[in-house]
Amino acid sequence: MAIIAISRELGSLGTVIGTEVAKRLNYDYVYQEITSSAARDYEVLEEKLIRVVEKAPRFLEKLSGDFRRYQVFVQAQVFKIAEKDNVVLVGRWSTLLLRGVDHAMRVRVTAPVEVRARRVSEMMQVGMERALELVRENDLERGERMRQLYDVEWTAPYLYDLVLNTEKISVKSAAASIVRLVQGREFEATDASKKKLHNLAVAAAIRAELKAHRSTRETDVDIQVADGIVALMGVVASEAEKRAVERSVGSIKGLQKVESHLRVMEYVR
Amino acid sequence: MESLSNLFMGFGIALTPYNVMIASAGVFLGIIIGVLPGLGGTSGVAILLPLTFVMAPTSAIIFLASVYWGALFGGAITSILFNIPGEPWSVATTFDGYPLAKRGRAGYALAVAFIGGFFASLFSVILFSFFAPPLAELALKFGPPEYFAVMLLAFSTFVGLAGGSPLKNLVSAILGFLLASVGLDIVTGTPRLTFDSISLLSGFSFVTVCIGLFGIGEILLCAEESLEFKGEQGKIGLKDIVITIRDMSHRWYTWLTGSILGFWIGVLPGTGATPASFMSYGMAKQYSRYPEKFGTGVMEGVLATESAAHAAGIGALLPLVTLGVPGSPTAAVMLGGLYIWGLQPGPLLFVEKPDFVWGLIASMYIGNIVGLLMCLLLVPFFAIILRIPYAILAPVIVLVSSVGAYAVSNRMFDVWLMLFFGVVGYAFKKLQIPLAPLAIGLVLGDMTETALRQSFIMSHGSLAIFFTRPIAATCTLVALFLFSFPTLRLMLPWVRDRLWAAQGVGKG
Repeated sequence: MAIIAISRELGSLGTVIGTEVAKRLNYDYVYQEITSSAARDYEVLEEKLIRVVEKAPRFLEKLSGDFRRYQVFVQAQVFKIAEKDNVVLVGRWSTLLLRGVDHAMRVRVTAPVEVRARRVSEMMQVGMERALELVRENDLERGERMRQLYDVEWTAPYLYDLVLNTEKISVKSAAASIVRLVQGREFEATDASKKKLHNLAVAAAIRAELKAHRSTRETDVDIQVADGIVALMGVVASEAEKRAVERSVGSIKGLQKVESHLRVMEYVR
Repeated sequence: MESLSNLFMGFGIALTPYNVMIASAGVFLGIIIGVLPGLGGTSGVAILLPLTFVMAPTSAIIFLASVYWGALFGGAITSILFNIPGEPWSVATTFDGYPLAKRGRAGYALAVAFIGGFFASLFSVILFSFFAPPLAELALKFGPPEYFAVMLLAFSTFVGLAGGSPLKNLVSAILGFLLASVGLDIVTGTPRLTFDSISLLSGFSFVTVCIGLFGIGEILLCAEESLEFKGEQGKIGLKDIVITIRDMSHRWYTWLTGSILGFWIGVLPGTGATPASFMSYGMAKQYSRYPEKFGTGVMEGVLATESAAHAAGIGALLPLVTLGVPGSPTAAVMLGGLYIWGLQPGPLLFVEKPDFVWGLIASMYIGNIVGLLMCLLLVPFFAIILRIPYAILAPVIVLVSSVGAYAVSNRMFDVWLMLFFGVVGYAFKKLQIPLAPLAIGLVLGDMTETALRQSFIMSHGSLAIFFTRPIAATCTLVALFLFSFPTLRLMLPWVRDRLWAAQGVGKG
């Protein structure tokens, strides 16, 4: 009963390690499915979701603010899959989002640039120079995106429970150490940690629901969930927006109570 | 560098002991006005205007401007500690200021408001010092058509930018014009709309109407709401100031965009600190990394609002001194003051009364420093004022207002007029009709009419004169665009939907 979230760099063998861990523990391995199922659920193009994860922000995109919707959709999907438990998640901000969930182990897989470039050059049948270029570009773009969305340096070791450098360590030993660690007491699923994950998942789902509907798309409100009680906080532009948000959240099934503390920006007095 | 030497001359005037005292008194009264929710900057300046009749014009404008700076500072105190906006422009300060205070960080929230506001003011005053002289020089070349075009622009900003219902803004402005037309016809000298009443022959006194609309109207509204002041304790420690300065250095872009936006909105005739503060808050939220956290106590919310409000306060005086067109309702009251002190507002002030203009500019620096220090040191004292029962406060304000209205021309008629407009102000607020367009319509009515009729005399009655001169044409076209902006905006969702449909996104 645990969740393993892996953050990896291009050519670091993170996906291979992830599959190996999933096989050994008999967990589900989920990587590409996160964005493909989010695209299906929220009726958006998958490539747009992938862009928001993997590519650096572009000027026009920042201006339109559309990236925020895609971000929220991917987040909701990560939580939804994590809640299924017994799962290995690769990428899609899962290591960041699951911070604070006790039974989620967050792993970073890395290796020196040259090592990764060599692997990429073999895998993709490209020259070493091109491979180096690809690796560096990938690091840069993803790093910039993480700074934009979460204000973190994704290379910082303290964001993870375990950092593995695959320059020397083999896939087998890496997988073995992850499996051994995750079976420790630190990552035991408790009622409290499950409840916490559930609350986060509900909040993320509500946020995505608001971003999916036209009448509430432009709003950005804070959503806190505890024991089926949803608290809405923040500022909206008009009474109409406020009503739309409250109605939209109120119609979501499985919620006991919705408390709205929304405030409206208005100044004719 | 003529500006610089003029500025030093201005400091020479503003730093005389008498003027420093006047500025400090103004800031102090201003903060109290800002703190009291029943008393806004506009009504505060209007009520205190009669006090200046005994002062020299330079001291008088320093006093009124200082009241305005004080009010800009004071509004935040009530917003942050009591969750009730002390001023319309600090409504958005309550969104994040009060949650911060509730979390025990009242001192920090107040420090952000004051220090952020102070630096925004400073930034704007520097812009002011260097923009005003060239603008005034340009304005010296203005003829009646240019003036009319600028006035048109002032009124179009209500419809296009001020928020709220464009129709209600228009109704309010037209009522202002109607009131302005009462009295003697400016060209022929025949009585208009006076209904044979001698009292109406001199027209409606602007100060009286403003005290009524803004002051008495607000008092009535507050009496009805019977606000309860239960809030947080606030004291600013040295640590709060240090943390604020550190945090602000990380959020300099929020501060800078707020200041620039605020200054620009302030300069636009007719829109003041209130729309500026809302726009700045909205922009900071939209471009934040965590827009959903706005409203739960993020310092950027306070910083964006307060910096824009303070910058707009300064910006609003730019068109006032250079063109004689007020940039905000409060500036409109000051314009009323200029007439009473016997000054002709407009670009000639820079040539004929440099001591007045530069004294005012220098006092902007001084007034804001005084305001910052007073606020940082005396917050608990100002918060205590709110514990005074409203039943005591309201009659005192009504009394001061009545004395002010009477003092304008020493006649009882004005006091009745003030009370009448108090009821009008109350009714307007209930109907959600903004008062600012009415006030500006009234104060600019005569000037607009004069400019229009002189232009027609020049052009022998042809409208083309507003389109053939470059400056007039630019202003007229922008004004026409703003007048049609609400209609254009209605079409925006339609265009956006088409674009979305083309991209194949979204459901619902």
